[in-house]
Amino acid sequence: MKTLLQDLIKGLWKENPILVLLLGTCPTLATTSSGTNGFAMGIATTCVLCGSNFVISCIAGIVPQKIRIPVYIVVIATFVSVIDMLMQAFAPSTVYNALGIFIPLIVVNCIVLGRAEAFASKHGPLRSIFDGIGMGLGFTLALTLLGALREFLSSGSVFEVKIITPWTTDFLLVSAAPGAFIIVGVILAAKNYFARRAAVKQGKLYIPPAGLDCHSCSICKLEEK
Amino acid sequence: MKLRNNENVFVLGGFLAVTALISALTLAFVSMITADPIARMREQNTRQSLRQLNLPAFDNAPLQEALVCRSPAGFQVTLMPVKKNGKLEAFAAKTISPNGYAGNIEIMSGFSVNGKILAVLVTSQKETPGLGSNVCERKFQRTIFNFYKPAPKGLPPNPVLDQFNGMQISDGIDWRVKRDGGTFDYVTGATITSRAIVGAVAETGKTLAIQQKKFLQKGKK
Repeated sequence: MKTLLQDLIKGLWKENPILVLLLGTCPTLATTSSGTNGFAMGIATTCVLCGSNFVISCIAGIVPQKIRIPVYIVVIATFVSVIDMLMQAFAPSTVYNALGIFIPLIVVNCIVLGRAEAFASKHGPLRSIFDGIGMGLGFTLALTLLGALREFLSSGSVFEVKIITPWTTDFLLVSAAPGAFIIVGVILAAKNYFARRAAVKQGKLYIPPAGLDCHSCSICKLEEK
Repeated sequence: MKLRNNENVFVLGGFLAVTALISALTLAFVSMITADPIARMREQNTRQSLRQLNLPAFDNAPLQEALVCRSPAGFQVTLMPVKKNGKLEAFAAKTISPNGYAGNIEIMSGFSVNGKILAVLVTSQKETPGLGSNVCERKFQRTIFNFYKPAPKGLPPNPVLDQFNGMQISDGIDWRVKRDGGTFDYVTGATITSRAIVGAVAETGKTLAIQQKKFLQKGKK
């Protein structure tokens, strides 16, 4: 029970896919033009992540090592298409109109593949589902934050409610992808600065969380032992 | 030399093929069971859009009397006569333009009998969120002072889509955006989307001008 809870919670902050793992940057930059968009993308990704993590943890034992990545991609793509069709058929049209454009983007979201490879293929189905939910919620959190920030800077509104009425809408940089890059960079710098300062205050050396830097990442390791 | 199973190309290829087959079957199954609900949902959406087009009151079912045809540039245009007591009152048209920045843009437009544009709205698009999608969306602007109030009735304004209101399709209008030397405003950063919408409205107008007679003759019978 405790491990399940840990699997769920670590994705929210300690191993947040955007702010710590820096996975899935492409959809992050593309879809966070407003808080609502970021939230919608996050929820859609959470659903896919949950399902794909479950299926992959079930089939991980029988998939040959050499072709595991293509097999995972096929599983993820199938999931995305199924969810797309189901939503188109049964979700209210307002929900589909808001989410529909983001759903195909999930296939190329490397969080889904990253979690399949780094977690689901090594753990049981139940833990994988919890990991999927946690990572998905962490993704949603980061995307909503980023989206709301960009929306505020570019139009003075948050969640489509204008907070400062005379705010200019000419600040196009933040509403375009390069602006998103800059803001993500600023958020990361702030996060690292405070983490480092907290560590120094305690008299410890600041070490980035283990397993999150490039050395120990297993995604790109193509040669097998 | 004998290869082990997990290195044999044919075994690996076979495994991938089986995976792909299972996935294809799943997709085929889901696509089969969702085809009807999706079609019904689309029809419902079209009916809803019809109500937003500033059309005069009507009592027929425009969707059932629709005429699907090709515009001069090859876009698919669905012309729907809007009638009251059997008399032709206006036209509604659904146009699918392939010229969007990402995929097709589907617009609905309303025309009066003499070819005046009543309203244009985008019903389906996959443009970049925040840039291209802004050109397509009609949304009521909420501020901190009125966010608790219900949205006012009628079509929310959109500077690009509202330009067409009241234009006559037979007038000699240059159906291009200003950047290309035409008459229409566009949104910086979303020129392709603006261009596609202007083009789609122009094509719809041309198609209506060509096909209009068919409806008028039908009405006489």
